[in-house]
Amino acid sequence: MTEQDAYVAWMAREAKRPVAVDPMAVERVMARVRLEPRPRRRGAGWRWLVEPRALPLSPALGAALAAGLVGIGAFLGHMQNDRGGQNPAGRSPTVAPQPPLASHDTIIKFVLVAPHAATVSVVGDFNDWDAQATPMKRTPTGGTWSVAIPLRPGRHVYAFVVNGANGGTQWVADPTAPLAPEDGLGAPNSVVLVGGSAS
Amino acid sequence: MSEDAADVQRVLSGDVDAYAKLVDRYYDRCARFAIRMLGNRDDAEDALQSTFLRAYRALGRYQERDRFSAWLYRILVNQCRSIAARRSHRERVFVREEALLLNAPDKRPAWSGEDEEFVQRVLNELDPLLREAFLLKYVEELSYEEMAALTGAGVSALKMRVKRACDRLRERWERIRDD
Amino acid sequence: MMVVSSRTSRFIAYAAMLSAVALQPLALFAQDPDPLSRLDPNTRFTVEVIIDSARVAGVPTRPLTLKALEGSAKHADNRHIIAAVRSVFHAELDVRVALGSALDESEWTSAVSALQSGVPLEVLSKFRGDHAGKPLTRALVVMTDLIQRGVPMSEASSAIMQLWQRGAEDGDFYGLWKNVEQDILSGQNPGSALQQRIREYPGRLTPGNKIPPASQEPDNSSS
Repeated sequence: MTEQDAYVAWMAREAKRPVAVDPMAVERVMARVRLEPRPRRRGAGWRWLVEPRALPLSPALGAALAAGLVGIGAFLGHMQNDRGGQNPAGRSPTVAPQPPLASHDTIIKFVLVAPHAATVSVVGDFNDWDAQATPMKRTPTGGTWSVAIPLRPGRHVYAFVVNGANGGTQWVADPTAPLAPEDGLGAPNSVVLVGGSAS
Repeated sequence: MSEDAADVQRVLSGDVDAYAKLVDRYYDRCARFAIRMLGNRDDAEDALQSTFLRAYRALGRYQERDRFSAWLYRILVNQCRSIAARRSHRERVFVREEALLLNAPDKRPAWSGEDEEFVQRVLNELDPLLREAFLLKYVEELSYEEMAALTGAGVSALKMRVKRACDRLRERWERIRDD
Repeated sequence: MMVVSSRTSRFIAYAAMLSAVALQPLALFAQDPDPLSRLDPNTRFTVEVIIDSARVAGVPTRPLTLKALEGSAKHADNRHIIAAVRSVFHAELDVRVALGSALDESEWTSAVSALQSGVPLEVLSKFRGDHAGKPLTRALVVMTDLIQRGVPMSEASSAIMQLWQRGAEDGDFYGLWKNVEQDILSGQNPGSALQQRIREYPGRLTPGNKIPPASQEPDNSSS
């Protein structure tokens, strides 16, 4: 071992020594902790929505829950459908799961007219550019695709990924939105400003 | 079930005081990292309080299969980063007197002030990311995989940071030696 | 694109979450803890080195990560991904020179985009100074878009700077952009479209705005 390595090893050894700690520190932490609401296991509340059979629900309660969900789904379908067309009964819209709505998020609805598309999704900084994360839903008339998602205030960049029936994929900017500059990655992006903006 | 996981379970079932056991088990070790990382006690205490409070709030998300220490350290590393980012650029050098101002408990072997001050001063000279990598590797003795999971950086980048940290320390040694 | 009212939107969001969970049992609360794992190891390493440099330099790192993810999503060549990330990093350094670091995340990214669309540093620097409460992001987004749509850079920046110095608000910039965009889409020459629309200011303003005629002192306060 060279002198220098011995020095580094010495530094590490010295840095590993325990530090003097205020004996009241733990109590200070606990004092603040006791003011907090009790933590609950996350996932327990949601799990029953995903695997209802695994839980000891009474059949009647289970049916009521399912009916409640369908009701909400139908309502959502109605709300999303501007033209007042009918959402087939019982068909809940597929909206991609998103992180919980923060208090200052705003719902933004993305719309694209793409009558010949097989599938369309919106991809951007808000979903880490994951083309699978936010699929859009086709309106019953078939020509328009849309999805509504919560976005944090500020500037967001995005584009639409359009998959044709023949299997081709195209990245499309939003024709109704400001453009972001070209930067060598090929497809152009669009910009949306959320919060405090008139849009 | 590990002791940590059992304590977490107790807290989630309503036994708040069980959390004190977890804090007690990890406080000293976290304090060592926070002080070495941030270079002064005030910031370190800030980081530690935030860390344990956030960990408490997030307990519901802790999964039994994760090591509690790793889970806790991820929070600690991030808290240290936020606090370092927030404070002014002028590094506050760890002063020997600070160690005396606090009630250093007898049961913990404290350093002789001079060495501790010197080592901290040298650590403070390292770029924060390099310092963090050095501490995680050589003080916390984590594997690169564990460090990657903690910091979100890739293993190669972390290896490079550790190497650079050691290079800087060696350079420092040369300068001292040549003085 | 439309914005639904926040109360209704809150309901929609929760309803959407519930129905989404009922149909797709994916981890609602988990976002990818390691997004860069999508990149091949060499690219990832280089990108992380750039991100390290940015962190040390004190400029935002998230835009760099996002640019790498964007490149990966678009199946861009690895060299292009690295070049794009590096380009954002260098632009951020320039932004700091032009505007300082007291910017929020959106101001950073819109300033970077402005530089990348060809706005010179000295033009960007004109936005420096007290821009608290002013729609810097909007002004830069509009300017960048107009340049992308074919308005000559000097005309676009001069028009936006005019509005900016007169204390125009978010609605003014947005209104200008909307009108010019429509004109360009209906076939007008971009530069002319902008010239025509900018002449409508300070005549047509959003209510409550106190932009004085150009002959007077510019009013720097925004209500």
